[in-house]
Amino acid sequence: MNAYDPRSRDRLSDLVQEFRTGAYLKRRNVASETPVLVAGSFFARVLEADGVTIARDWDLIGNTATYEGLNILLETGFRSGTQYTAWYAGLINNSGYTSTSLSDTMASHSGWSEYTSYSESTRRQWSPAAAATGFVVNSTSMSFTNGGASANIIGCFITSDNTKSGTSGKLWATAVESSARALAASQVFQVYYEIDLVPQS
Amino acid sequence: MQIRGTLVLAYYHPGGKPGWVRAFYNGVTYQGVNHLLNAGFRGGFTAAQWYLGLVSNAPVPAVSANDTYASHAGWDEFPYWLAGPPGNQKRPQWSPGAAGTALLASTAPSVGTITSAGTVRGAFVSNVPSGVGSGTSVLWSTGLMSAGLAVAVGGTLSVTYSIRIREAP
Repeated sequence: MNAYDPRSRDRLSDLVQEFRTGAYLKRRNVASETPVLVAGSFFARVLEADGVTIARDWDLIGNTATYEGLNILLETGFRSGTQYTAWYAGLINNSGYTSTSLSDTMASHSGWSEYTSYSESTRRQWSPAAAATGFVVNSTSMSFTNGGASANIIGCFITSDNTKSGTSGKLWATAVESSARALAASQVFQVYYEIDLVPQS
Repeated sequence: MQIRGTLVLAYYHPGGKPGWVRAFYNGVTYQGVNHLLNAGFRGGFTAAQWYLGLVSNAPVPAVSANDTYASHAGWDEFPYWLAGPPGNQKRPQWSPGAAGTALLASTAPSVGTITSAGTVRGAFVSNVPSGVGSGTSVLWSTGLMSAGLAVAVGGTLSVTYSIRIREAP
């Protein structure tokens, strides 16, 4: 395989299309009733240490927003609540993982812990462009370069605090895969994150 | 997950005798969801106050997710439901309490007086108290009843509105 596999971009495009059309949710047997379908998803892949060669191609990881996150959305949208203008992605460690919960917060998430042994000094900033037709997504991927030992990652989260292992800030959502994803030393875990609010006609 | 908005309209005849009551869901616009995303994740403008308005049954309305405050070709407002002191009347305010477990709801009904007889078909939610609006005007949602219902001069209409974000069933 070439170092850059153009099929990878096609797969990402396919996954994005599947997500935005609701096919992903239908595949998960999530009913799409009126009036607005809320869906967030990570698109994730693993690259080798060269940052180009694909070790594992794009996957779609659906998220669950927390009550804390949803309350922020409602408060900022309708009551001029406190805004959090910068958001960041972090990783969920498979070690010790049991579950995520709607009630999780950055200060309290007893079912999971953060994986922080990547070389970047902070959680990766999620910088979506302005919302258009009901979705926001980052145009530049977020990359986590694994540290000196292999690891197993089960998912990701979005928070308003960029400090690795930090417990302040707000937790918007968590996303976990059906099985853990292995990361060898120096491999790069690369993600995009998208939120769709889709009016149902 | 779903965002579900629920409107409850309760009409009282002139003199206060209870009239019809209807509860129905709204449809959210793209303008509305874009506002929510930009305010929530990008520091976009926030609107501290929202208002409720009525959708007229003349002409028979058709709403669309593409409707905006400035442009909604399929329906007209019923502009004769007003609140506030004479000389400063405007659409009744929607005043939700703090969000709790992803629910935002009226703390008290939004009440307005009917100033001209007609037939109403639904309601809308906007951050504009009256008139044309501006560049930050947002039409959040519209909702239609199954049929138009008559209102008379001097009658009052009480509206409660709630938004819930929940797991899809």
